[in-house]
Amino acid sequence: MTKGSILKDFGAPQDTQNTQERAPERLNGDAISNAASTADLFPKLVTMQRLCGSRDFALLSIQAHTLLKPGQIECAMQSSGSQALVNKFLLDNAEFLLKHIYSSPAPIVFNPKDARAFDTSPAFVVHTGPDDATHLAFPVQLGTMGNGFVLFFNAGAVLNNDLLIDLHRKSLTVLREKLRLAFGISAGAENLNDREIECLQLVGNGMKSEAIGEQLNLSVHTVNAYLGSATTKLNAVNRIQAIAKAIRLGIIA
Amino acid sequence: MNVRGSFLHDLEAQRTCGHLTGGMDLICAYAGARSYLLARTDLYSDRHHDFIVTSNWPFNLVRKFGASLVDSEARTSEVRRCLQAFEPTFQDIDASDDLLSDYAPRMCLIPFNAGQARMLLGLLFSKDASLSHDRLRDVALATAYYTSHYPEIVSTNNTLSDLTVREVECLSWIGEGKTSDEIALIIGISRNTVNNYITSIMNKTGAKTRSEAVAFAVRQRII
Repeated sequence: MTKGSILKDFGAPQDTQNTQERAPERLNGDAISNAASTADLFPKLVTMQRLCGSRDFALLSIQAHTLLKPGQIECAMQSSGSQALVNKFLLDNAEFLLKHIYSSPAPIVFNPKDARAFDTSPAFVVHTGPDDATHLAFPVQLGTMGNGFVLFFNAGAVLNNDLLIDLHRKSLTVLREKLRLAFGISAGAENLNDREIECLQLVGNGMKSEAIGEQLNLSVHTVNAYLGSATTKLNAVNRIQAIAKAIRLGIIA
Repeated sequence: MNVRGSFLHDLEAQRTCGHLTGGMDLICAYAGARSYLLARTDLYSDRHHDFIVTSNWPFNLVRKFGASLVDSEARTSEVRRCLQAFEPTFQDIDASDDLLSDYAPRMCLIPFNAGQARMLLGLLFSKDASLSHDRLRDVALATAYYTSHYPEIVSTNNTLSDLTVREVECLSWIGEGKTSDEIALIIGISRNTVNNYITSIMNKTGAKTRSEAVAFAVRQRII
């Protein structure tokens, strides 16, 4: 990829364009656009599965834990016929996977055939039983959203650092793409204008309406009006909930 | 073993026997970079202290760019931040700076997450260096693997654990848009008690308003 295209990928103008383009798609129904996105990621996962000589894969998405709610892990995509395998694996390992993703970025190798190969590898080795097969789990922590794992079951290929980092990079791409699609589909509150976002941001920083008005050269009432319209657009009941929603949606920092 | 495999092998070996900078030198060498800067981008409150973990950039450059890099990372919206994680981007350095006579006028920035920490790797290149995007993407993951083994880098300061369960409960209801009266009804305590909890939350988090306390809690993933 050229440097030009990297920069363009994240340029602000293109982003707004994307959300505008995708807005009508929502009206046609989520099912259609979701189906399209799944279809795009599937072949990538199949290619990766072949690289590590595995027979089944699964893509897990993870909801971050908070002090009140435990984290959630769910299977977003899997190779056909792997339901039983994935369910059993999650039953045994969901807790471990949740703990791992928020403590380490290292890939996990379950029951490697040759454990010595991992003496000087960033990979994290886990033994679940004497005659269990080799599985791979690649954690992807993008931030507060889009986190998950890519799993490969019964990996038959000879594993080494090179193959692991290659698969891990591809896992990153897959989850990043998934987040891009998901956000394009669910970005309901993107029609906030600059002033509304600015005021929300300042409230989130702990300023009162009076102080914001002074800083932005607006009257208190105007500031409150912006905050009110932002609250309505975010479908929140008051400005405090609007702040919480705006941060979760990534509209303000 | 190919170049990438042995790079990871060496890096891992470095971790068990060496100091942090040894591994950073290996990372630099693999990326073809001349010097590195590793910073934490999630320490909002500690911005003026030690958000720079380690660096061998010329010091004036650190002083000039260090804070602004972390600031611009903090100002980016969360979605974009998530989409940019582990992806190298490039930023032009002001060419008027005479320090840069032997550096290329562009730096490479790689945001990444390791455990609880959000970090930023900034790389400077020599003028004649040739860049490999492929290697820079390897570096993003390799640096995350490497740094996650140093608890002093990736640990978080625990102002959160000071909050009691009741306080977090109140805070999460406020985040749902409930008023003190409603919360009092929901958890079955008096309104004054609710207000006391909220005052205590604001004291502990150093927030000036309820909004700021909620904003803090969402950013820190408490609610």
